[in-house]
Amino acid sequence: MEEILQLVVFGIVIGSIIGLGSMGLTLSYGITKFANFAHGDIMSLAMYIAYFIVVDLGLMGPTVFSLSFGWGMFLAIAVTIILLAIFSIAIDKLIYKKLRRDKSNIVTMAIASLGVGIIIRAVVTMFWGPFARNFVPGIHEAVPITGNILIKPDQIFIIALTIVVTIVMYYLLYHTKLGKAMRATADNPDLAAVSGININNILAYTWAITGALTAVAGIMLGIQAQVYINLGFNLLLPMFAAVILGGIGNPWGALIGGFVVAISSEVSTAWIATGYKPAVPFVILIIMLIVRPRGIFGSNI
Amino acid sequence: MISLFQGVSRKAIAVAMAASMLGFLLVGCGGEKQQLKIAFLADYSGPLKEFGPVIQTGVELAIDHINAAGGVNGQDVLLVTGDSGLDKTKATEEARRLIDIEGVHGIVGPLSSGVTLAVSGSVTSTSNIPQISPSATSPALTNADDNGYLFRSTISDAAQGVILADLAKSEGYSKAGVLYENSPYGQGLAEAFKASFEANGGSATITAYEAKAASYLSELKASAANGGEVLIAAGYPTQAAIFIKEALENKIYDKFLFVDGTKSNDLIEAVGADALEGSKGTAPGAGPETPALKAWNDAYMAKNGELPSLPFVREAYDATICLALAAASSSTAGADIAAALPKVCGGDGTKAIPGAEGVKSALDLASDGKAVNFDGAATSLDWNDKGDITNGYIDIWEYKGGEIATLDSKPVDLS
Repeated sequence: MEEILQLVVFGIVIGSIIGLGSMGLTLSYGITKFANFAHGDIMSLAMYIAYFIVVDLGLMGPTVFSLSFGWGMFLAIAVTIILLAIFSIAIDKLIYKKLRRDKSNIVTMAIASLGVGIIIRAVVTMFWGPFARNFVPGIHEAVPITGNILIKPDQIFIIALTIVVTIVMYYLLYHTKLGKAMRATADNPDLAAVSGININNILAYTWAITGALTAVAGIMLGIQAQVYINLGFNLLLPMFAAVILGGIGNPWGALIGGFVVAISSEVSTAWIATGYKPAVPFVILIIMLIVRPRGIFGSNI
Repeated sequence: MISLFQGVSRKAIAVAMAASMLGFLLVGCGGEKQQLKIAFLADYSGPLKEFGPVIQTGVELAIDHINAAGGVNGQDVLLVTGDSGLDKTKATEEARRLIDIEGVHGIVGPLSSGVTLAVSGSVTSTSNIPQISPSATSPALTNADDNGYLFRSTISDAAQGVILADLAKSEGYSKAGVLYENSPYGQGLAEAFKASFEANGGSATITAYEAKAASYLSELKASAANGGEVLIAAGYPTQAAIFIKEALENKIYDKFLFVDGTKSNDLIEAVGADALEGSKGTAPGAGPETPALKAWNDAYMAKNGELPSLPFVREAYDATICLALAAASSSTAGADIAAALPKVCGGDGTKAIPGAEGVKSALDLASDGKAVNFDGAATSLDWNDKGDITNGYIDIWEYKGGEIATLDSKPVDLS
């Protein structure tokens, strides 16, 4: 039993990262209606922006709360959120807006996003090289929660940050005018437009929120694993699975979907060979699509 | 297609096609004293692109030596290159092109185990063209269904598995957990280790991981489920940097053994020198400096000014020389070369070594139909009936004071 609980803990940590990443992916899908293949690479970009701030600029500072990193990381998260929010809006204005204006279909949009992803990966590799790096190299020991179930302080931070971001997102979507407008636009853009909602503004806000979520998820991934350009893209498939599991366009569904994906694959290793671990969430996905084709929570925000 | 040939009459196309088919027929029965063409199929693009041009220098040195000695069948040997790009589809297309269009008689390459198996399975084994990989180390090649046309001039990881098992035993471990990358390389090495370790009374739990994850904790747990005392890291540094840290942080393992793939300075940087201090590992090695190796080093230095910075250059040289010797002793037909390969580089014939003079004496003997035993720069090139090198050396090394130190070099015999 303890073994299973330990695997659930691992799953919650990875699920936090996949969940927040999927939330961003599903929000941008809800409004733009195309699958953003650059999402994973923007997560990787987030790691490198944070790496630039805490390591290259040397702003890490002394470690706090038994974490492996210092206050600099909090600064890095804040700065990366702002930068990626602006970056996401800029990419939309520069590329996707043109395609939308030309009435491109969603496949064209998706392929364009794949191109954006490849460009990001190439540019990051140009500056930081193809090798993996660490925010803080070396060993940072895990501590027991109860009995023999261990967790690293960094991983507690990841879970705590996910809870904070989720609360902020909930407030934003359900207790602000902007959130109401976003939900209305995702539901029916034409109806929203005739109700006096400025669709272009909503689009920009959505991209900004997506960029912010991607920044947090990307830096958490860098803290959990390492700073490595392929990591974000490697997580794209599980994130799409989480998005579909939760019902496309539904941020809460995507968050829960992320936890289902991560916890199911981690816990599966107690019974089946680890080589099949990445396949487990997709088996669940197939079963769910047969039973509930619109996702666990359906496709509405 | 249609627009391309709009101005050309159908008759002209038919004639051209007939002529080209006739050309193929003529090539097919072109006699057995024709010019020998050798292909070097390797990575000039993709993740291993730095290896292609460097390993090619070994092939070129071999071609120089052969042609300086008068070539094969009285004509210079020709070298043709192809790009495999670490891509099975691309590599098999290139192999097809090299054989069907360039008309090569033998292929040196490709570099990775997975691509080598793909080219062997879908091209060379059915086209009856001998293929020698200088660098595919996976034990999966040994029993591949290659129709007798697949060889390699480097020693199988089965050898590393044996030495690794000996090392684990001599370090006092009886239960080992193995984390291996889910590829022919990782799996082959892990299985070779397990077989050898368990034959000596140990027990090993081998666990696969996919290289794309953000955490390998559940794989580590699974590998340690049977009480593993030591973790064997059979993969590459990028992933090992994550899972070695996780193993220490979560107190799953505190002792490690490494392999050639995880022999890495990047790993020291990521995990820290203290955590790795005293951990040992294995890797294919050159062994003591034989006359053959010395002669090769001298010749390579004379031509290129420095010794190669990457491995498998010597193996590529050896492979090229063997193809030429085999063709000289029999004919340029693929079946003849494949049958002659083990005879000209192994057996009881007159010994010969690399270098312009050595190759000349070997070629003269082979052309006269006399027995010759060519010893390569990398290995003694004794092939068994599965196309595997039977003798080689495996180094034992250690992470020591933040650096990698070689401790010992052990001979292995797989025959």
